[in-house]
Amino acid sequence: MNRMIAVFNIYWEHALVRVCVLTVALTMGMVKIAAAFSARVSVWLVEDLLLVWYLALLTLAFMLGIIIKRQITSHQRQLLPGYRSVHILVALGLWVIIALAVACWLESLPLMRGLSLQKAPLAALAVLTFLTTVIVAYCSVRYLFIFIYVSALFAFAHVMDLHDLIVRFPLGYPLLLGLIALFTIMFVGRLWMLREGCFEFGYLFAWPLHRCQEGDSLATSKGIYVEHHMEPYHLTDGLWKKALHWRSVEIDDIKGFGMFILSAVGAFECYVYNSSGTDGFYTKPYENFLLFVMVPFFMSLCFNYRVLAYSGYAHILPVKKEDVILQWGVLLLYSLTVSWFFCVAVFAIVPGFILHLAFVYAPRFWAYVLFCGTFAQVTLWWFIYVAAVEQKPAIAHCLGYLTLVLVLFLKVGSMSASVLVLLLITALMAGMFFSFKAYLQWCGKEVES
Amino acid sequence: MSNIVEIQSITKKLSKRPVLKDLSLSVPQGSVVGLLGKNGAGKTTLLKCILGFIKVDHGKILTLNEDPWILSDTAKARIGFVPQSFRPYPWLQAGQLIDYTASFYTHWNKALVDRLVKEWGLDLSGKVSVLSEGEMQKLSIILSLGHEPDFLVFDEPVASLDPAARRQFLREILDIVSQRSCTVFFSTHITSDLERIADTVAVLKEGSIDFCGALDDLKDAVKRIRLRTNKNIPVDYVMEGALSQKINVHDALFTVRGFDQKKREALEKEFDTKIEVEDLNLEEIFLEMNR
Repeated sequence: MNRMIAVFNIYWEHALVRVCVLTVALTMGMVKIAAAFSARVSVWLVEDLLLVWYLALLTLAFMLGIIIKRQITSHQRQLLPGYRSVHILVALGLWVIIALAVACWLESLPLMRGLSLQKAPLAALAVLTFLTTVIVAYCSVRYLFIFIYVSALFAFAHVMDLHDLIVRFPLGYPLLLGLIALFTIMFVGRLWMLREGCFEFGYLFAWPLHRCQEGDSLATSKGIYVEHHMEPYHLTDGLWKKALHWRSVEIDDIKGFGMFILSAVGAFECYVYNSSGTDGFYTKPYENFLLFVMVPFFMSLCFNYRVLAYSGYAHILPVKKEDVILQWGVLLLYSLTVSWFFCVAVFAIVPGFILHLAFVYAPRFWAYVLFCGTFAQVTLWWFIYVAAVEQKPAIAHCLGYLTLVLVLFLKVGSMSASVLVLLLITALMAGMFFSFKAYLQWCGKEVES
Repeated sequence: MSNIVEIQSITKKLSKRPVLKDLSLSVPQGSVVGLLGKNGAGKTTLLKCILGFIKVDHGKILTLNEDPWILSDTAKARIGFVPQSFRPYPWLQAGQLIDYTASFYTHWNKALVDRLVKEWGLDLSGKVSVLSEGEMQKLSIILSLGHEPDFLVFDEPVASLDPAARRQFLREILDIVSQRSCTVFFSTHITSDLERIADTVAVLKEGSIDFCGALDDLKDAVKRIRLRTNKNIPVDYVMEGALSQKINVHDALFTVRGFDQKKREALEKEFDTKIEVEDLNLEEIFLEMNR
């Protein structure tokens, strides 16, 4: 079999890649058909379909990234002759095909001129999704979860302004776009040079399988189990000690990515500062309910998935199971608080102060962000609780929770400060209730590693 | 005879822990070298250094006369490797994975691959994700043999194989070695397999080579001495080269490295008795060397 076809086959055989490619192709076709009918009808149809197209493209980017990651982690990368060049060529070739297809499609749509959608910003979008692919290939699974979720939220946060999303960032910044493209290509080069001996392999590149294999020895070498055997166990000391210990293990593990995040946040704040427009999503914090609730929730789970993966080991420690579960609770709450603070600071408070926006001085805003934090806490305990209950009640719980989220999502932005404070107190009580229920549920549950 | 691998005084630290310490080793062409060592002795790290997955901190390695960190495609085409675990693209069928791997080599012995697939009962239409550990190991071995490499590296290749497949694997290796001038370097914990196919044994202990030589030399070098005498054997009696010893007034049991006729005569004279000298199998020798 031809080498190029063999490598291409790896992508094509993946079911999700096929679904994404077909979705993109179908959406492009449907937009074209809609454009052929009424211009008025097609305007809103195109809006919705573009969102589907964007999400499918984003998913495709993630899938390609994950496949590239597999290509690089395999030992074959080092030992198959001619491996690097053919894999780079196929990966780049796929993106060229996608970019060309998009360009041809736009060319064939006279309607686009009336929609202020131009080729340049869409090409920019292609570059950004390509960057996404490379970042996905580079990041370890925890950061991947966060990245996926944040990207999706960004997309949804702009459901009403998709064109703005596409146009705002790259339009008028060809130099910036060129730099991103250059950076991406350099990144690709680095990716294909990576192997176990490279310095960032242990930090960014760790993949679950790799980590799982190392999990036990890592935990042992960090003294996580040993401390229980060495010293008499004190619950209060142990709770915070363990939470902070795990945190230090995580920080140790994410030094490289931490630098990247700091740089990204710095760049974001610079962008906010330089932005002349005030119609961005950071000026509308009340519309970002899900961002302030779900991102901290997912971040706390992602950051601690390894701790939770050790549950089987914790079960055989000479420590009461109840104490171990309490420790996990403290750890999750700690992570959630840090993540929530990070989100509101980056996406609302700091830009608010930089741009001198009025909302940061309003008590309603602070009641709102605090409510988001407490509701994220309810979500966390609810999730932990539901994860331990039997299947049927769990479905009922999920339906109830989703209804609640939907109502809040639609209404919370227009609520007054006093109502938000009332909700905050209710959420605090609900959080305490669910944490207690979750604790009891997990104490009575079989724990598997 | 030239060496396929030449290692000179290498050291390697992983997470600040020294794993390989001033290690030197040569793997002659056409030899079958078995690498023995306890868990954490550095076997996998050594194999990774030889294949260029990781870089050594100090010292020098030459694999097929090249720096393994920058192996040429020609050298790569001469190497076959079976790692401890391998599950690359779960969504591909086993047959597709074979086709994919084959596409990278100019020479691919399809007849050999087909024969092994048939003999080992592999279902090529099955997805890689549903293969058991043992089946995946078989597939991994087949992938490493398809291009008929000159240098085969196995990292615990038979750990997940059933006894029949293990026997077949060993037979296959013996056939390959006897038919072509192929060099095999493999790590294993199953000493009986090593006794069956290896002509050279390298024992890795705490990051260094404790012994490297012919299997028979190792067996000749390590003996168990049973001493029965009317004299009192001092509790603190120390025998030269003893790996372990158990003294009980008039009886003693020593496991000695480097025991020869001269030492035997001296010992018999010292305690005025005849001693019994027993041979040890490789597993016993390994255990004694790693006490």
